[in-house]
Parts: sequence; C-alpha cells; structure tokens
Amino acid sequence: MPTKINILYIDDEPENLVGFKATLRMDYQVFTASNIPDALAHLENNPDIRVVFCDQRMPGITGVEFFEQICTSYPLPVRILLTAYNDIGSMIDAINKGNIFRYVTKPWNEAEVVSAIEEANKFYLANSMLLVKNDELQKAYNELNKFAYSVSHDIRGPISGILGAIDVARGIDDLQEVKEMLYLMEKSLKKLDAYVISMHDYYNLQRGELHIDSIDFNKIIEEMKAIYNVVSMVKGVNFTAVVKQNEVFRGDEVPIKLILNNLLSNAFKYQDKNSKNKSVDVCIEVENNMVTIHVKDTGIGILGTHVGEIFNLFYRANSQESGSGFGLYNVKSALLKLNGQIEVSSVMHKGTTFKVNIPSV
Amino acid sequence: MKLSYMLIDENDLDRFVVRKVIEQTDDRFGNIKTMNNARDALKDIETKSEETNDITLIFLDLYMPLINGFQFVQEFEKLPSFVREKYLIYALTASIDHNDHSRMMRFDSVRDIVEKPLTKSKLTGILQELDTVTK
Repeated sequence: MPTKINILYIDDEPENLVGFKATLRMDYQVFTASNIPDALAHLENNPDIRVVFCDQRMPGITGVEFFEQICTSYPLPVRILLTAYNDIGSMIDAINKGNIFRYVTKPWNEAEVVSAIEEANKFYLANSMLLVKNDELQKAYNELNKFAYSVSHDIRGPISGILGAIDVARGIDDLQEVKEMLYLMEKSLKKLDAYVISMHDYYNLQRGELHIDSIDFNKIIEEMKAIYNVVSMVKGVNFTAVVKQNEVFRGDEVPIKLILNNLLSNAFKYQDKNSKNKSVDVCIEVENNMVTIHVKDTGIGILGTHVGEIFNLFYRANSQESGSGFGLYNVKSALLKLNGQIEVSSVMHKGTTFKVNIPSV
Repeated sequence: MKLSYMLIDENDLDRFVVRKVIEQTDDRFGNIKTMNNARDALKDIETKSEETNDITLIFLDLYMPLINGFQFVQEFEKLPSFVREKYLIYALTASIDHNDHSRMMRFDSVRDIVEKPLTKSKLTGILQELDTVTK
C-alpha cells in the first residue's frame, strides 16, 4: 500500500481541526496546528508534508501572510487557503503572487477538499521531479565546465607540444636528438590517446545501461594478468592475484573490469621507484551475494590531505606520473552504477590499499 | 642582454621544445634549468637565487599537479624584492581560456602570456622587447 500523503491543517478553532482530521485521517496522514508556532514546528519536523491548508482568519496574522512567510523557507509544500469570507481582493492578490495554489471556501465539503489535495499532490510531484531534473542538469553543466577546462590542457596541450616539436625539429641535424624527440612525441600522443579512451569510458558510465550477466572472476583476473604481467616484469613489481568464488555473482562485467583496470593501473603506476620490494596484490572474494576486492600496493602512498579529493574529476595528487585525472572518478561513477562502495587506506611511502564492495544483482 | 632560463612544466616534450627553441634562438644565454613541478621551482628560487647575478626568464605552465601556475606566482610574490627582481615570469600555456589569461595578467610579476608552442619568432619577440626596455 502506498504511504499516505502528509497534510497539515492550520485553524484557530479546535473543533474545525477535529472535524477535518476525522474526515480525512483514513486516507491521509493529517497534522493539525491551532497556532503559527505549532504549524512551523510541524513543517520543520516533517519535511515530507506535501499540502498545507491554512485558515485565512488566524489571530494576529492572515493565512495569506502566513503563506507569504513560509514560501521561501518551505517552498515545496503546496499551499491552500481556507476562507469563510468572500474576500476576493486579497484572494486574487495571493494567487497572483504565487503564494497559494488554490482556495477552498468554508464550510468545506469533503469532496472539494479531497479534490484539492489530489490536485495539489500532482502539482507537488511535478515540482519535485523538476527539482531533481534541475539538480541533474546543474551537475551536468558543472561537469561540462570542467571538460571545457580540461580540453585545453589535456587535448590542446599534447597537440601544441607536438606542433612545437615539429617546428623545432626542422632546425636539428643530429639524428640522435631527433629520435629522442620522436620518443617524447610518441609519449605525448599516447597520453592523448589514453585521455580519449577514458573520456569514452566516462561517457559510457554516465549514459550507458547496465547489462547483467553472471560473472566469473577467475576469467576476469586471467584477463587482467595477461595485461599486467608485462608491466610487472618491466617495472620489477611482484604481482599476485587470488580469487575465491564459490557462488554465482550477477552484475555488469564492463564497469567491474573498468574498476579493476583503473585500480591496477594506478597500483603499478604509483610505485616507489627506489623501493626494492615492489608488489601489487589483488584479492577477490565472493561471499553472501557480495564481492569484495582488495587492491594493495607498496607504492608512494597518498597524502592524507589529498585522500578526500582523489575521486574528483580531473584531480591529480601527484606529479610523478602523468595521469589524466579521469581514472578514480570513473571508478566512483562505475561503483555508483553498481551500488558499490570503495574505501582507501594509505600510508605515505608504504603503500595504498583500495577496498571495493559490490553487491550481486 | 644575457639571460638564464627556468622552464616549469610537467610535460617532458614541452620542456624539450622550449630548451631547443632557446638554443636555436638566443645565442648568449647563461644556463637553462628545467623543473617538472612548480614546488621544486619555488624551492630553487628561494634557496639558490643568490648564486648568480643573471636575470632568469621563467617560462611557467599554468596547469600542473601539486602547485599550479597561479599558486606559484602567488607564492613568488611573497618573496623579498631582491630575489624577485632577478626573475621575469612569462606564462606559457596551451590554454585558450580567456579567464585563465586575464587571471594571470592580474599578477604584477607576470610580464606576459605566451601561447604554446613557443617558437623562435615568439622568443625573438620577447628578447627584442626586453632589450628595448633595458636599454
């Protein structure tokens, strides 16, 4: 059964309150108040009140004035005025100011009140939906701004570097130097390429739909090993991976791989170059419809003051390696889609462990 | 005028290009220091500025991790004047954002903004302008 709509009725005559509540309490959750402070307390304590009825003639204040007062502090509840007086002037004024949605004349009849509540509820829902959409739009705009920002750094940066290099190369005769430049140009282009791929991941995570299937983590880890065994050898980093899966896990493989890939790539990337015992350890455990993934490295660690920011778009805590600032943001977005969670623990110069939990669908 | 140079840029290729442009353009430069982050550059300026009497031209990138170009200039402007007067700061950036440019030009110690990539003709322009100012 759907939860009852919360409504608030304010009237200084107690018998009216009792009558109102008795008539409507079967279908609605009715709060009543005989004075303004009580009404405000109800609004404060019950943010889900959707409709407010107020009598026009309250001691010391009119209903119109009361609505004017609350329309900025409690903008969401829909306001309906109850009046026994044919005070057309102030009524028109109040409606025109947008302070009230409707008015109901006293003595009211049940059908009229119920219809007012139902109409008000529709209005309330439409408004709330609009607010949610508005928030989403605002968020999308903010990210678009960040993109415009990053386009000049992450896309125009490598391009201008390579253009500059081509220009300079015309004046260089030493082949060795030209080769060194080619190497640096290649590095810049690879970075640009990685940026474009991450941007594509980003887009898919924001707009794509989930494709649920049963997931074999042993298979996924074999794929990861195929990618990272090479890096592990080249960089001299010991790489171990353990999978404990004795039950079916259902989820979307693509974002799960993206999470693992980003965490592993970071674990290898941010190793302490001077350390002798470099390692990356992955442990994946599926238990009670939940997968727990630990990715542990012996890297440079993350400074405590940066930990809170590493999941922000385009945030980079370190200049040792050139990242795009996309990776962990994409991890966070993927986890949001999968209903998962992530925790970080890090000790400077010792290493970082990421712990990820994702429920099976 | 004989200049030394300091390049502050996290990108290897950009530092390489600027170094080459200097070598190909300025035939009397002192030395070229390269810094891959602005924090090290600040430290160098704070501790080593007394080692030389050369005027150092700084090419400063805007977007870098740790300390960005804006923060670098903020910190630089807190240094004593006998240190500051040995440096000429030029922002060198791939950014085409108007706000970035005006934000940077608000600093007294930023002489100009140069759009990446640095080329021989751009550097020649800077050097000629500096020559006329100092004569």
